[in-house]
Amino acid sequence: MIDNFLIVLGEWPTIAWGFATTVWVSALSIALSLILSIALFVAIASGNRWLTIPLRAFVDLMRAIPFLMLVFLAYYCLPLAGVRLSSWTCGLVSLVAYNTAYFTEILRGAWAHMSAEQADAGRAFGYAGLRLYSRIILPQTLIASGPMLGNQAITLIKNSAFLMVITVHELTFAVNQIQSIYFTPLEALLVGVTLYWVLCLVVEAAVRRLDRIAAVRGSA
Amino acid sequence: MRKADALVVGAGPDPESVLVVRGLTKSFGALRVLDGVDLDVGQGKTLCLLGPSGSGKSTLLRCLNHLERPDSGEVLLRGERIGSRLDARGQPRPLRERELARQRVRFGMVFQHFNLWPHLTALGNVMEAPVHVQGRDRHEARAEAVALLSQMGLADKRDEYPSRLSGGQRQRVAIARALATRPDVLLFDEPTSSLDPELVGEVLGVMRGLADAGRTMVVVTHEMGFAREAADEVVFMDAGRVVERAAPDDFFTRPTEARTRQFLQRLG
Ligand SMILES: Nc1ncnc2c1ncn2[C@@H]1O[C@H](COP(=O)(O)OP(=O)(O)OP(=O)(O)O)[C@@H](O)[C@H]1O
Ligand SMILES: [Mg+2]
Repeated sequence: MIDNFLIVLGEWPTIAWGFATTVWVSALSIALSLILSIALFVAIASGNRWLTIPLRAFVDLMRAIPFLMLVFLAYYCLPLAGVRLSSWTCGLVSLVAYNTAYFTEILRGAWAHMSAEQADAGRAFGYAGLRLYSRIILPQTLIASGPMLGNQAITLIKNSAFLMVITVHELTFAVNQIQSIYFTPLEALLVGVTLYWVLCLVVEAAVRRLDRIAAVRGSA
Repeated sequence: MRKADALVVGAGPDPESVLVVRGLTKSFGALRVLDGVDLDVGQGKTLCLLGPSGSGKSTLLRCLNHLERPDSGEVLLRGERIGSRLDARGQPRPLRERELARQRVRFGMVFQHFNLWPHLTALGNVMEAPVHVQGRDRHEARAEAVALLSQMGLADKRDEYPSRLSGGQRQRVAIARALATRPDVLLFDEPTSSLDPELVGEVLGVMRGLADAGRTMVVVTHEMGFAREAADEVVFMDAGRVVERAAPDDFFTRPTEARTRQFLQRLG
């Protein structure tokens, strides 16, 4: 067993590359989907029907399909539509689309949970349009939903493992490659699991911080 | 003298009035919530609005600063039309939300449920609109906010978030926030109704001080003691209409309308 571990760890450049890819694709997806979900949230909350109906349909559709199906769809069907993406880009797009839907729903839910009088207070003091969102609605919505967004980020990190099926060289792909070359499934998987666990612990710690902030500043 | 001049010119409203309301109506679907309301609030006067639940008091207040757009009628603040502009043919044209926002700052509103912004400290709440809506100098706005919070007896609470404050403290922060934009008139919608009984006094005390200091205020309240002592005029509403208006002494001791007497009797 020790020998097998040494063999697996001897492949550290592959593991390191896989881990770095997982971290990078996850971090980029979280950042991009946070930006996009804020835009979608504002568009949906603004109540313009031409925006609201298609955007809500997008959000509901994304939340109704398994992530793996979305990855396959993006990988096999986008080329049919003339869109050619590298597998890495394809994975990123899938993660961002899927996660944006969940983030948007979290923001929408948090805002619906708050009092409509919060917006009234903003309007009464002279806020309108985008400034009402940027100064009054978004800050408290983001603070209140911070812990849920953090938990969703953990789900995203775990979902990124599915990207191995379209040959993105992320952590699960690397681990699987090593175990199939050396026939050391237990040791290779243990290393992989440990790295996911450490990554999620870090995010978990951030979620706990967000929890404390939300408790004080998320609602009056 | 000026009153006489106005009469000669034939201009309707009293020129000393800060706030003039004429023929305000508002319906929600088939329900007529405001049915032609007129008001005049003079400079430095406190007007208390009384009336049974559902009589349209909150709606009236929200129509003053156009949080709710009235169906017809007009609101004039120091002579300026609120919420609409007269076109060439003298017809009112509704203002856009952005233009309306600029007018709304001239009303300082205090809500029943405080509605402080939870992501900002007490000081942040008070400074927010002066800095970000009115574009005032940050240092100056901060100094003024600090002074207002001290005036409200909250000097030591300025860095607390609303969730860490008692109801009475929150409402006093909300009053400081309403004063910080230097409004022409203050609007209070049942400012003590969601407070524990032992906290009502501290908020009414602050409001009493504002009335005595000559602020122009419209106060919806169920606190008859406050109306009796602080109001210059009491207006009683029922079913979207003004039923009776009088000086507080007359209102409470010699109400003329049967509906008013009934209301006062029920309060005991
Ligand atoms: N946004 C709205 N949509 C539909 N109906 C409304 C709306 N706001 C108020 N109403 C109705 O208008 C009527 C008057 O409401 P309003 O809140 O102005 O009364 P109020 O005098 O403030 O009562 P209270 O003392 O209970 O606060 C009520 O019947 C209420 O249900
Ligand atoms: Mg009311």
